[in-house]
Amino acid sequence: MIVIDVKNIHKTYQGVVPVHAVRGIDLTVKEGEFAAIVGPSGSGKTTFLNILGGLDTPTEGDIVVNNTNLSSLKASQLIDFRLHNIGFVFQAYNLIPVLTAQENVEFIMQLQGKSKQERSKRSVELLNAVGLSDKLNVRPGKLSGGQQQRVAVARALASKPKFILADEPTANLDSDSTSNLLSIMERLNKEENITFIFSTHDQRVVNKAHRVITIDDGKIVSDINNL
Amino acid sequence: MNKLLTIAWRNLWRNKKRTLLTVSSIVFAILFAVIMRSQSLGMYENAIKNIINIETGHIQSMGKGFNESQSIDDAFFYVTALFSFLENNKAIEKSISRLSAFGMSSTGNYTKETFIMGMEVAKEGNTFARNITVGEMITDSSNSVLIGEVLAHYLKIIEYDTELELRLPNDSIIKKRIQNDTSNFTIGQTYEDKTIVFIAKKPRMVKDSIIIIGAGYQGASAAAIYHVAGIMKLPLPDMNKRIVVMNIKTCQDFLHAPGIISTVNIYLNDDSKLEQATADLKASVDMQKFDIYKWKTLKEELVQQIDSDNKSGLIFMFLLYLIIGFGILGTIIMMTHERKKEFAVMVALGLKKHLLIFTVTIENLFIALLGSLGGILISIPIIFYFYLNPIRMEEEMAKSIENMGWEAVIPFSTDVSIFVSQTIIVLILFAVASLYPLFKIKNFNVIASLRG
Ligand SMILES: Nc1ncnc2c1ncn2[C@@H]1O[C@H](COP(=O)(O)OP(=O)(O)OP(=O)(O)O)[C@@H](O)[C@H]1O
Ligand SMILES: [Mg+2]
Repeated sequence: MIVIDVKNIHKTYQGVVPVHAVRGIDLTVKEGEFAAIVGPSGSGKTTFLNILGGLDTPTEGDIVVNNTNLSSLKASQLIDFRLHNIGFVFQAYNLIPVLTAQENVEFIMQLQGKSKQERSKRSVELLNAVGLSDKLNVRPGKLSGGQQQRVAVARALASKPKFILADEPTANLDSDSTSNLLSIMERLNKEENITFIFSTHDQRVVNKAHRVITIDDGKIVSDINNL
Repeated sequence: MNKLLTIAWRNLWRNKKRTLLTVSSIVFAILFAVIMRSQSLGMYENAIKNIINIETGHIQSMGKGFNESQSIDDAFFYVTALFSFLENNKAIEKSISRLSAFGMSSTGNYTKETFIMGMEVAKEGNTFARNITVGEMITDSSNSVLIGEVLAHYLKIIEYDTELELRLPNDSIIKKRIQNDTSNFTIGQTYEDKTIVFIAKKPRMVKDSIIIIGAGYQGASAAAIYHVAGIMKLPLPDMNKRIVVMNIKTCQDFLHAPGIISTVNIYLNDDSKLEQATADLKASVDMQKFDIYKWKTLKEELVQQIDSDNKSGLIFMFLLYLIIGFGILGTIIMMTHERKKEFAVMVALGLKKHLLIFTVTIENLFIALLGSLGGILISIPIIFYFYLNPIRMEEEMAKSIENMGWEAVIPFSTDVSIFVSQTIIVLILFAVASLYPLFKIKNFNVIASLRG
């Protein structure tokens, strides 16, 4: 099943000197993929991921996610769409600092209107899955970077999204935390068929990806199966 | 929703210092404003109450033209029409007849212009009796008089003693009265090896008679000598300089005006009925013979004085809240900017902007409520303390206030509206300041904020 289908995406940042960051990208992603987006700094990875996540709008081209054309949605519908369809993991973790690990995971489900029982069951399961069953009631400030990022992954999964976008999720992590996080992501991908799309500069992360999409200067220059 | 409230509440304590600083600035502003307002309104209420009780009543009726001429010839006789109305109107608590005239009072070497007032002693109740500082109250049957303290001092009817309260080594307090004292004691100084803890000037009567001269009814000359029963210090400083009070019968005899009264003071059981009662009264009496005035009309200067004092109080309060308002705005702007990225994350994850605005507004509301609640809770006991124990001003302060014609006391008002209005002002300030995050969030760019 195809979860992402984009055609001829362009993005130009307007400014004194307009920056043509994405210059015509076509891409389809199927359910269950574990794909890395790589490329030099400034090549347009973040820009492209933001567009895929409905956080930014392309200057040209259509993004169809799960059969919905994002450009047809109004701003508030788009927020709702993200809530139900897309999980995000950010480079800087970006957990809500005043909520505990478990509350952070539950937060999204709460926005979705899930029942209290369902929320607490799933949040415990997810934090268990990322190896943080002993940190349920700890706030982000008291967690290591690696632990925070694992909470972020659990949070991204909480809403049962169609896919998870992660822009350089391991950039702030040491190598142990990186391999730990990655094996968790791999396991979730294998066992629960969760679709991951992540950008990275780290060759070890690239090596784990099943598909490696290389972008340069706003265009896909190679797309290889890495299995 | 629930969680959003939790987030808002916990956010307050992320930067405890700043929250507490903002909350305490509101507490301080409310405290200050409440005390200031309570004191101003208390002064106004007190001044009005004094004028109404001692001078005018809520409504004063008098013979046609008497207010302008102040001549006893314009005073009116007992009129049944008026009195039956007064008896029957439910809004009227009581009405008291008085007869007043101008004259001179003298104790031989000293003479002074005088305001002579005859009154129904028993009906007046406590109004004058409670202001007696030395001697005793007159009665409806005796023909002795009460004299204002300043006048009495001028006429050398009284002298001032100094009364000291002294602390003994065993901490008990004794009083010591020094007659005709001219030394300048100060609190804390020792006197006969004891520490002075309180100093007061107390009048002592040294003469007990006074000669009063006036113009009687229809040109008759009036002069008589009266026994001085007591000295009073009325809360109307101007009165104390010239008033002599006797019972109405004695006054009528003095002025050769049997049965004549010059004013009827009408007291209402409820201030708010003033307009209606005045109108009713005017409709039911012969306005060819009477003048009927509201106290506000008779005491226009007081109303204006209060009005202008009130205005400057409000301007001061406005400035106070302007400063506090900028403080609040500053805090809110900081809170918004610090958390731009966090807001962006929440919106990226799927929190609708209006819910985010709700959270931030609730957060601000918490601060506003904490501040106003704190301010009010702290001010209530203070206000009630000063309400029960009004501050009496001393010496210089007292003089300058009395020169304005006001009693040298700072009574506090406990009117609920004072507390309510301060809270409303703070809430409005917050509502206005909360527009900032509202617009920021409405217009903010998720991507840009995620970066920063
Ligand atoms: N908001 C913006 N306004 C203007 N130009 C931008 C903006 N965001 C990104 N760019 C430009 O667009 C191009 C692509 O940037 P992007 O952040 O997508 O690169 P990237 O591949 O994610 O780089 P990195 O690996 O360093 O994260 C760059 O030239 C960048 O300077
Ligand atoms: Mg990037």
